[in-house]
Amino acid sequence: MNLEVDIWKKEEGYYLIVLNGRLDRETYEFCERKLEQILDTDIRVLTFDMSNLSYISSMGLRVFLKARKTIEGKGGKVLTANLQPQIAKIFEIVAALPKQHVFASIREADAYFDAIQKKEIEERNK
Amino acid sequence: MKITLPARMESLQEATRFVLSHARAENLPGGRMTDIELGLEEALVNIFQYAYPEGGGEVEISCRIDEGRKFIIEISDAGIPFDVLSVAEPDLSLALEDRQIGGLGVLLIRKLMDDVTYRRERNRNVLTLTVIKTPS
Repeated sequence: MNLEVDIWKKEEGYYLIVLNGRLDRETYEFCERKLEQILDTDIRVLTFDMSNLSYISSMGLRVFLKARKTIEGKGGKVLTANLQPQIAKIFEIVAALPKQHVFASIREADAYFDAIQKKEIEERNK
Repeated sequence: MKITLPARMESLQEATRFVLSHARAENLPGGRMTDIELGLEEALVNIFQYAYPEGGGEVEISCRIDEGRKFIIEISDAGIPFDVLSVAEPDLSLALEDRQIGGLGVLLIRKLMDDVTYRRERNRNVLTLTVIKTPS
């Protein structure tokens, strides 16, 4: 298998998906199955760490976009961090993600989650 | 330099190896290797699917240099007439929930290659992908 998919639950509602390898015609089904394990849970934020993703084709992009549709449909957010230049280029071509959800590091994505949570708590206490 | 392969997904790896080895021999910059690999994969997948909907058949792939700076990949097949460029591109201006998640492959081919042309010649589909070695 040319792809590894690791799922980490960082906090309640916050998941980190680490992709390692190639997300293409050979591996997309495997990735899709892995994501299905968490897609029906209550996801506030899901971050893809793509530092070790070297290649993505249209089938891989479909998996990503489908996950985004599902999560955003329930009010959650999908973020990415550490995109390699060739992956960033592909994401830009197909407008896979709004620019404000593309982060240079996991730490920045974490900070985004913290900010969302803080805002939600503030609103609840109003 | 030509290679003929069965028109099926299992041929992708060998096709990629063939084309990339020529691209490397022509000293194309590393950054363009992914463009070529992806452009080729998306083109072949479409051909396998639409030119040979019943399966079977072959594709012939050749690589050459034109005018000293154009790396040209020509893919030809004897399937039913199919112009990959006629496939509709997704409307990226729509919100994701209204967007069709399809047609991405064709969009990638168009954007990653410097030129793409299709012709029907002697009952064959001929798709030409061009990557310019040093952008003018």
